[in-house]
Amino acid sequence: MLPQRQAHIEAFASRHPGTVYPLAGPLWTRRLFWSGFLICFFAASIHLGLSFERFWRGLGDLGVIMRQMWPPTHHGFWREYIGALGETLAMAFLGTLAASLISLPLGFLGARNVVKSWPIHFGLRRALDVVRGVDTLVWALIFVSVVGLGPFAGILAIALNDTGVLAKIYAEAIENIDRRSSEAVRAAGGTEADVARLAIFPQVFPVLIANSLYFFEANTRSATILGVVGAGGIGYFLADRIRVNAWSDVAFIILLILPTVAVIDILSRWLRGLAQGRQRNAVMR
Amino acid sequence: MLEITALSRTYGNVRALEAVSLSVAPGEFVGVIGRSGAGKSTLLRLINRLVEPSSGEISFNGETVSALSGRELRDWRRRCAMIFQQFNLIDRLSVLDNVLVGRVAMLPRWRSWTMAWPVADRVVAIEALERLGISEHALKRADQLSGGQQQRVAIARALVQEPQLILADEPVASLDPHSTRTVMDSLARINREDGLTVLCNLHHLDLAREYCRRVIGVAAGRVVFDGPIEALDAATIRMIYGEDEA
Amino acid sequence: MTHVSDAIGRVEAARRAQMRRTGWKTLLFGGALAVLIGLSLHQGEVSWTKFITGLPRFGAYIIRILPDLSFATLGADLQGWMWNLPNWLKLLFDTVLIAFVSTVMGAIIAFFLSFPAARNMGFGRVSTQLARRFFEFLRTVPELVFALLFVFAFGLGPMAGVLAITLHTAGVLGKMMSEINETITDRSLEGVIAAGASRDRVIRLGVVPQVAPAFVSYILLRFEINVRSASVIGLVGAGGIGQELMFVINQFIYRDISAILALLIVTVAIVDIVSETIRHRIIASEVSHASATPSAH
Ligand SMILES: Nc1ncnc2c1ncn2[C@@H]1O[C@H](COP(=O)(O)OP(=O)(O)O)[C@@H](O)[C@H]1O
Ligand SMILES: [Mg+2]
Repeated sequence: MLPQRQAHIEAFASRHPGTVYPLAGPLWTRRLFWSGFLICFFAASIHLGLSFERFWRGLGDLGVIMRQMWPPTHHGFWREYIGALGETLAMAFLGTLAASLISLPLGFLGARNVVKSWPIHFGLRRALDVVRGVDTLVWALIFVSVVGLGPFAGILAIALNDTGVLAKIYAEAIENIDRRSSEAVRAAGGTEADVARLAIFPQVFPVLIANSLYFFEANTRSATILGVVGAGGIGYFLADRIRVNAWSDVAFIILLILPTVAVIDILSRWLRGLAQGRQRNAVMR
Repeated sequence: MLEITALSRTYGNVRALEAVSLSVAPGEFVGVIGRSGAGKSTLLRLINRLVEPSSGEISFNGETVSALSGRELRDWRRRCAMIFQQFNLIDRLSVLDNVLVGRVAMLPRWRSWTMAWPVADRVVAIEALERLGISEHALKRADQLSGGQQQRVAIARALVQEPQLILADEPVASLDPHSTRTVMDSLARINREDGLTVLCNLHHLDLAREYCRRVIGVAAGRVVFDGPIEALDAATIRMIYGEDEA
Repeated sequence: MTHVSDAIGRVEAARRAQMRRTGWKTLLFGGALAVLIGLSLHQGEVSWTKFITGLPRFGAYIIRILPDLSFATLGADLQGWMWNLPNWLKLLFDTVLIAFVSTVMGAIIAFFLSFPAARNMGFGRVSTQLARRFFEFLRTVPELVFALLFVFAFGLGPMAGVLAITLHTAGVLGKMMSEINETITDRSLEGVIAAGASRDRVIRLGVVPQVAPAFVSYILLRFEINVRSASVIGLVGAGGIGQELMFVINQFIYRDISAILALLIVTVAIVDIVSETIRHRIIASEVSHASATPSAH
C-alpha cells in the first residue's frame, strides 16, 4: 500500500473505530459467548450420558425394529385398535368441551375489568398457573390413581389442564376488550350480568370458538399417548405392543394415528376458518 | 466489448424480449429507454444471467457468457455488477457489510460464513464508500439510510466487485430529484474516471439526454432505436413511448 | 304506498328465507354436536355415578398430597416436606439439560433443512417436498411415542428422551423456520446473487441476517415448551424428573407428589421468565430499529 494511502486509512480507522479493524470488544464477547455455549452443550451432553458409541449401537437396534415393523399387521386386533382410536377422539372432544365450558366463567372471574376485588382474580390466576403448570400426562397419572384406569381419567386430565390454559386466555381476552360497548350497556341501565352477557360475551365468543378448535386439535395429539399411563385411548395398545416387542402391530397403530391426527388438523383448520370469517388472527398459546 | 446477438426471452406467451442484437464498446455510457413493460429490466437481467435466455447469445470480449455455469457464471456476475431500482440491500446488515457482499466471489467460503472480512477488503470497501461520500455511515444498519444513500451503498457494493461492466436497472426511479442527481453523477463519474462500461435503464428521456451519449430505445421487447441521443427525433420518441406519453 | 308495502314484503320474505337457511344450518349443527357428544360419552365411558364418586375422591386426593405446614414450625415442616431436595434438584437439573440439549440439536436440524423446505430458496420441488414431508412426520409423531421406541433402542435414561425431543423439535421448528424463510423477498436475495455468490453464501448473507431474530425467538419459545416435555418423558423411562414423579404417584407417597410438583412448577416458571425476558428484548430491539428508519430525503 502506498504510504499516504496507508496514513489516510489509519486516520480513518482512528476516527471510525470498528470499520477498518473489527472492534476487539464485540469480537471477544462473541467468541466468549459461542465457546461458552459449546462448552455448556458438550458438558450437558456428557452429563446426560450421550455418546456416539451408544448412538450408533442404538441406531442398529432401531434398524432391526424398523425391519420388523414391515409389513404392518393387526393380528386380528383391528376392531380393538379402531375402537381405541375412537376412544382417543372421544377423550379429546369431551375434554376440550368440558374445559371450554368451565373456563368461560372462570375467565370472567379472572378478568380485572369484570371482578374488581383483586384477591379473587389474583388467587384464581395463581391457581390456574398451578393447574396449567402440571402436564396433562401427569394429571392423567394422578387421575388414574383417583378414578381408576380408563378413558374417564384421560378426559378429566385433558379438561383440567386445558381449563388452566383456556381460562387464562379468556381472562386476557376479556381484559383487552373494547370498553365502549360495556359502558353503553351500563348507561342503558344494565346490570353487571347484562354487561357480561350483552357487551363482553359477543366479543369473546369468536376467541372461544377458535381456541376450542385449536385445543381440540392439540388434544387429539396428546390423547393418543395418555393410554401409556393407563388413561384410555390408543396409547395403551401402543405402549403394550412396544413392551412385548410386537413391532408390526406398533407400525400398524402408528399408521392409524398419523392420518387421524392429520384429518383432525385439516378439519379443525377448516372449521376455524369458518368461525373466524376468514380472518387470520387465531390466538395461539 | 459486450456483444448480444438475437437475444430473446419469453414468459409463457409474453415476449419480454425479442431478437435483440447490439454491441457496447468499453467505456461507453449507454442509456436504455422505454416505457414500463418494454423489456428493459429483462435485457439487463439476461446479461447478468439472473434470467436465462430463451434463445440467442451474449458474449464479452469473445467469451460466450450466456453458456457459463457454476463458478464461471458466478465470476461473470461479479464482472458485471448490477444496481437495482429498489437497491436490494440486506436491511439488517451494516452498510460496510453490505458493501463487502460485493467481495464474496473473491473470498473463500469460510470468510462469508463467519463474515470475518480481511482488513484489505475492508479498506477497499471503505474507499468505495468514501468515493460515494457516505463513509461516515459505514457502521449504520442499511435500513437506517435514506433512499439516495442506500442506492450509493449499492453502487459501492458494485464497485468493490471490481467489475468491467455496470448494469443499472432504473437506479433513480424510486428517488427524489436531489438524490437522483447525486446517484446519476456518481455513475457518470465512475464511468469517466474508471473507464467502466455502464448500461443504465432509464424511464425518463430527460435524464438520458443529460447523461448518455448513446441511447437504445426498447418498445414491446424490440430495439427500435440505437444511436446518439441527438439523432432521436419526435417520431422515434413516439414509437418508443407511445402516443399518449410522448 | 304500494311501493312501500312491496318493499316491506320483499324484506320480510328475504328475512324469512334467510331464517330458513340459517335455521336449518343451526339445527343440523346442533344435531351433529348432540350426536357427537352422545357418541363420545359412550366411547369415553363417562357416567354420572363415576363423576359423582370421582370428584370427592379427587378433592380428598388433593388435600392428602398438600404438605402439613404450620406457621410456628415452618422451617422444620419445609425441611420435612422437601426431605429429598438434593436428589430432586439433580433430577430437575437433568430435566432442564435434556430440554437444552434437545432444543439445540433439534434447532440445528431444523435450521439446515428449513432452507430446502422453503419454496423461495431455489431448491427444486423435490427437495422442498421431501424436507416438508420429513418435518411433518417428525411433528405428527408424538414425542412420547418416539421416547417409547428410543428407550427400547438406546436403553433407559436421558439419551432416549433427548433424541425423542430433538426429533419433535426439529419438526416443529423446521416448519416455522421455513415459513419465516418464505417471507424473504427475492429482492434481497438478488442483491447477493448478482454479486456472484454461490447458494450457500446467498443464504448466509442474504437470508440468515434477516431471519435470525425470529429464529432465536422461536427457539427460545420451544425451549420453554421442551422443559415441560422433558419433565414427562421420564414416565416412560427416558430420563429427568418424570420417572421419580411417576414412582411417587404410583406408590401413593402423597407428600412427595406435592413436593416434586411444586419444585417442577417453580423450575418451569423460572425458565419461562428468563426466556421470555430475552425474547421481549429481541422483539424490542427489532421494533426500535424499525421505527428509527428515516423516510427518504
Ligand atoms: N418473471 C416474469 N414472469 C412473467 N412475466 C414477466 C416476468 N418478468 C417480466 N415479465 C414481462 O416481461 C415484459 C417486460 O418486462 P420488464 O423487462 O420488467 O420491463 P421494463 O423493465 O421495461 O418495465 C413485461 O410484459 C412483463 O410483464
Ligand atoms: Mg423494469
